[in-house]
Amino acid sequence: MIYKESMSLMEKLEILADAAKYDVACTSSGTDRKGDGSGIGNSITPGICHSFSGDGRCISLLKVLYTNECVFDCKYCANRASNDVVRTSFTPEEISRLTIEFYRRNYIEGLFLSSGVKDSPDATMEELIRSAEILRNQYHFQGYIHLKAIPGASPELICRAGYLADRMSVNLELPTAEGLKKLAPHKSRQTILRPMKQIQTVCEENKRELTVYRHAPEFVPAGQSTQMIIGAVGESDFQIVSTAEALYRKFSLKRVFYSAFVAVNEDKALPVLPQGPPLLREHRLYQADWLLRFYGFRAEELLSEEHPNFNLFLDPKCDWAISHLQYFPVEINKADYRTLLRVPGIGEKSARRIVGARRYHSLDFPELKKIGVVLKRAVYFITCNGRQMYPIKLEEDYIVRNIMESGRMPFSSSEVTYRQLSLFDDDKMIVDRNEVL
Amino acid sequence: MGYEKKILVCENSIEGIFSAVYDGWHWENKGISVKIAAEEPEYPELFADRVDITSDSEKAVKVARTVRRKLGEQVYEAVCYAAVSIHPDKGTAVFYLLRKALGGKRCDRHVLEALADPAVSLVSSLRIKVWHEIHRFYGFVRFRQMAGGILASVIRPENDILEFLGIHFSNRFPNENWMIYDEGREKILVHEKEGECCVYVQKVLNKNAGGFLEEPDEYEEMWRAFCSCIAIKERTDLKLQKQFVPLKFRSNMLEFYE
Repeated sequence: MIYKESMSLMEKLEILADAAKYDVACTSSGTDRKGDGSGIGNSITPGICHSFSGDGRCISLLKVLYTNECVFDCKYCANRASNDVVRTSFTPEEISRLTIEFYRRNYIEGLFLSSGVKDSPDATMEELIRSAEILRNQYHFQGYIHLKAIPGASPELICRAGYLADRMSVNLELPTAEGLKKLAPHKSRQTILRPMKQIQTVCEENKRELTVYRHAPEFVPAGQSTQMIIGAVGESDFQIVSTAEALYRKFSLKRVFYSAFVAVNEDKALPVLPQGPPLLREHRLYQADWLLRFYGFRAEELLSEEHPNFNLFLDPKCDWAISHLQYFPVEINKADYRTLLRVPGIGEKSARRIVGARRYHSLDFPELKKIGVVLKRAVYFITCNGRQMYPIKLEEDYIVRNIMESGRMPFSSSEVTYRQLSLFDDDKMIVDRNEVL
Repeated sequence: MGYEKKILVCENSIEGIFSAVYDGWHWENKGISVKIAAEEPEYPELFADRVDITSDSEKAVKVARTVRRKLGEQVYEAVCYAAVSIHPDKGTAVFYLLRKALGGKRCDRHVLEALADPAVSLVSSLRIKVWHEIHRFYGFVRFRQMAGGILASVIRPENDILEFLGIHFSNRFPNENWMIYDEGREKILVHEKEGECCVYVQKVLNKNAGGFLEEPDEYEEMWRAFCSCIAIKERTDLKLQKQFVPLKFRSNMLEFYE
């Protein structure tokens, strides 16, 4: 291991921000807190993005590791014990001063503090808590703080951290228990799920307490989140989505994040991805995640053992609709909110607007366009007052072909009535992922 | 009965538009069609009387109070956001939305849902546009520390959103001296620490005010370093980045300086 004495704050920041970049959750949402005038900061429910990095991800929080020293040896991690990298640590004073100075200049919404495991999980957790305490108690900082619960830290420490943070997270790391055993030998499902359960339990107790005593201290008001690595151990999308669903149901998580596997280490246990990280797959998983959380879908509706992976060419909602044509077309002026939500091209907002607007008068296609419905996808699945926009066949082949030629409305230009020969000449356009990658 | 039309030319501000709404109400009751122009019309219109409206805070307050009480905060917010946008027909749209909601002794708190109405549809799309811009600037304002710990920032927003930023930032930084300068409109928002969190909006007299910012400090260097370290190079996607931070916002964001 390389240690370097007396590093400047700038050098430390470069190393520890670089080491934290694979953590996905950079959201600052979920807390609504007005500043009370005594210190600095506030927080709004939708969160605020302050910048976007070169990979198009939002920069909202000062996302750093407390230290990149680590006794664990997780195979996928750049900071694993067996890697030969420069190691360094912040002090709680440095972290809190940096956060405040960045916050005053309106660079960030708050702090996201994660860490490698230095000495022991408890010792590391203490340091994280110390940093948050300085921010909250000395600077009276009322902005956002996201703390990682270090797997293996004692319940008392997790509890103390929870009263300082807005959000906490424990990373599930891999969607399957076997995968975890293979790639993260020092972690186990149990050390990950135990703090998760604890945070959930205390959170629920705290909510009940808050209804009685309005000024009781809040415990993790923005809820907890987790993340898993996608594409490192050959798991199927069905396994991932089912795991995510279970986490939402049983642990009342606010968010599950998916992180396409980036090969930072060479290791025989890790896959080689010459095409780069599986970004499209990650995108499809996020789309499915939204379907679970906001659109009333269940995992087994979207995928099954026989059909375990998402279609890379169609978004999960379109894919679902095309294989369930018996539910369509949907009549815009009569269907209830939940049915509208299931139509491709109609999102949460447009469904709500449709329900509101049709109380004034019946809707036709031009109004739907104004409301924000994406007609190029929705047009195959809806009728307005019993009429379709164009005479459209409710037929799998026909719809897939038209939707895939992105942006084209039926009957808008040269109408192709024959079926075009293509590389992916399969009825449902399911392509074995191994062939694509 | 003949067709009559009046064009009310008012000051380009919430107060100006509300004053015009107040005056226009009587004429519309008499069957005269009303148009509100917050900017000097490019061409005089045929068959229309031009009326110049002087901003009157008493009238504006009355309109604001009525809207808030009868239609609720949500409609009030939508109307205010629409009124500060740069759309030339905003005044007329606000007027006819309020006519639809309150005209003829009606009181329709759900008027924003009637999206098939052109006035409602324009106001609600302006509301979204302006809210998006406000929300973007919540994040994109960059303060530079000047002598005495004063924080200063320069922005160039499309819509006139400075006052709305004031509400957010005075809650966020109650114990700091800070100011935000709107380059395009030459207006400045000043917040003084301690005591009341006051927000002044005034025309800046010195035209060179844009040059008031001092030299960068160490934290600016660290922020730039942080922004480049936090990107995963295997995932580089500059197009996506441009979608979220269009180039027009970058001139005042130090992490994008070359």
